[in-house]
Amino acid sequence: MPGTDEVDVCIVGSGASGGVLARELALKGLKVVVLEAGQRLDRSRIPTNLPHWELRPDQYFSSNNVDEDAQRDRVTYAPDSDPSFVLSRVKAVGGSTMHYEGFCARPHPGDLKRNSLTGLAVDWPIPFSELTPHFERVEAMLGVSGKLDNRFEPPRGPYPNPAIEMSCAVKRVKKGCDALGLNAAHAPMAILSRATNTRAPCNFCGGCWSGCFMGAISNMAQTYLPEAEKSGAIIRIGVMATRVMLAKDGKRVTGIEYFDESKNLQFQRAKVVALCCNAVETPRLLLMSARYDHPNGLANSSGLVGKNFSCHTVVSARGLFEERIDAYKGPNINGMVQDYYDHDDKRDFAGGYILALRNAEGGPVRFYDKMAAPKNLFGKELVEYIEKNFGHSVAISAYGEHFATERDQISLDPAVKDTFGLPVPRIKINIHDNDRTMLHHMKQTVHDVLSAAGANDIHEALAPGFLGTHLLGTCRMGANPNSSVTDAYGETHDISGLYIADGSLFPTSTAGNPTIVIQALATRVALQIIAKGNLSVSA
Amino acid sequence: MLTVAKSSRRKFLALISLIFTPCEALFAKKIDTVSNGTEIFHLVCNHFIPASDTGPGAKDVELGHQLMSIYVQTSYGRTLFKNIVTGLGEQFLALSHDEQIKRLEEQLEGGKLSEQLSSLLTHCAHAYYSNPQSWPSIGYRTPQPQGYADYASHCGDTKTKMTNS
Repeated sequence: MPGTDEVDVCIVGSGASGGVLARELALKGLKVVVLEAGQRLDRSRIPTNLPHWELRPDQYFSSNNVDEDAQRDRVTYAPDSDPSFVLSRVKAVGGSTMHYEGFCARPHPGDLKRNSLTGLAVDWPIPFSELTPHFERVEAMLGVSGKLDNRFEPPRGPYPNPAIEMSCAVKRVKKGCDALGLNAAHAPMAILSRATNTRAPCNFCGGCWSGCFMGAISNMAQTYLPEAEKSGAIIRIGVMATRVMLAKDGKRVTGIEYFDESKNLQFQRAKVVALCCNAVETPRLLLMSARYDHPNGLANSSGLVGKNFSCHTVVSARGLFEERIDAYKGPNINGMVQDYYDHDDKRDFAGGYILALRNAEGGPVRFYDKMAAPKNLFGKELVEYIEKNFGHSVAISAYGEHFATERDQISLDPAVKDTFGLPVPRIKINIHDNDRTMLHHMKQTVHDVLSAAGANDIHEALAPGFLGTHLLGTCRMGANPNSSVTDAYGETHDISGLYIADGSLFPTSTAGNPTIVIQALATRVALQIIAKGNLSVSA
Repeated sequence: MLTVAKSSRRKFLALISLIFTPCEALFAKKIDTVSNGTEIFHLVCNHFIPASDTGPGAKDVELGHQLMSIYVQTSYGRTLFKNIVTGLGEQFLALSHDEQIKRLEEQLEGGKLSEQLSSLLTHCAHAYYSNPQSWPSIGYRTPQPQGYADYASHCGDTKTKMTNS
């Protein structure tokens, strides 16, 4: 019967953090079991080689029963939550890295010093320099492609792979950045620019959002997880963790209770448990694990489990160029601007944002939806408009730091249950004054860049709001048990052997895309688990 | 496994992508209870996506047949069809080409059939522009398996159209 043997480490979730932990720990000879709620995705379902691919862009991430998926993965939103936040995640082996775009810029030292720099939020309990070797290790594993042409990037060594050349569209937008004095640099990407022994490089199909047909995006299923399994880690798929189990004294973890694929309850005994389920599911699991001596959920003596839920804000603008630029070709993100990334006291907002220069226009159906449909065209006008303008449009986006408060939170819905009978996560998140001021600046910048590049018909492609993919901050780490859930190494203050290694740890959202930070933190947590001992580590 | 809610419209469009086999006989048996309904429907589709100098029109790619074969399979589709053809009425066929276009314009801009015709227009556009027969006229081909090796160099040539090879 599965789950009866004790393992060294039971990891819940196989995404950006779980994949890293599984490999790093299994390579050291530890007995590792990964519990994953989703299935292994079938690459034959990636639709981008099919004629009607644009009508089923998400089929790679869905089973044949989308209603069942939706019911199983249901969340609810508080009535006063900002409506622009719509949760987007993938429950599958590899987690949400299976639909990420691979944008992989490291954070800056100031990202970890928000309180010192702005008086808002908190500082991270880790010096930036301590993360650097972990970034290097992760970048090497992912084969990150990049170029040292970003003048705002902290000093660093060369990227493992050469940058992916800027596309026609990004080169065109770069002219606008140049005219405004902004530094449009190559975007560091977790996408192979050259082949390895086992993987093909990007062929610039532009279908990143639908699943990478070539396997060039360095998601967990392409990188960490195969090595983890080769080293002996076991991934149990289609299983749903229900509770973190503790010893009688309530101070030490003993394993995870979960529903197996047949919906029978099982118990996986483990010396160490690492939660890697993202900033929505990790607090949900801790809150669901409440018991008589932890009535408010596990690891929650601070009352902060689920609090300070954060993500990034986003705004996007689209414009049309006279000449053809074919912004449906090339990786989704291909250039970036960090002129407004670092906090600057001279600006009227705290924190910063990043500008992403994109090739994500998709095919003609998307062009119709984004450009022609809003103009209410039909007949000859419609056909002529699309024949004249398809391939001429481009959209650029800005992603901004979000300053969460304790009111931004994940809780358990008191009434709604999922297909396992478990309470679903209830989301409440809002845009605050500083975020709003920053969004205004972001909106102006994306417009100015397109205008300076010579684009016409510039309009809002995404209204200022939230990006529902970067899930952060609900079990923040810190030195003080009264104001944080875990210590600086991800071990919960309250429960020995219970670690958190995902985006929940973030004390602040940072101004950039979080995946590489999550992966670096997970590497650090893995080293800590090994260093703490009592496990069967190989020499 | 994406947890983003799937709207019924989205499911409907997914269905479009899965079923592209015309079966008008079946359709006619089950839905076309309105006199000349099929003819009206085809005409509207062709008005929405007419042929151009370089591209085929709805009629050329049998767009109306394709949509009808899908509409027949859901109550939503059957109701949409019925509302459109009864709403426009048999007299629609008697109008001149320009009058028909004007009528559609009026309806789309806030007429009683605005919502239904907007839905049909979206379905027509999605079905047409996801059909490879429409792609040569806009210089497009499906992303895979070839990818776009020319992504960084093929730019700036306003009038050039790519081949569909």
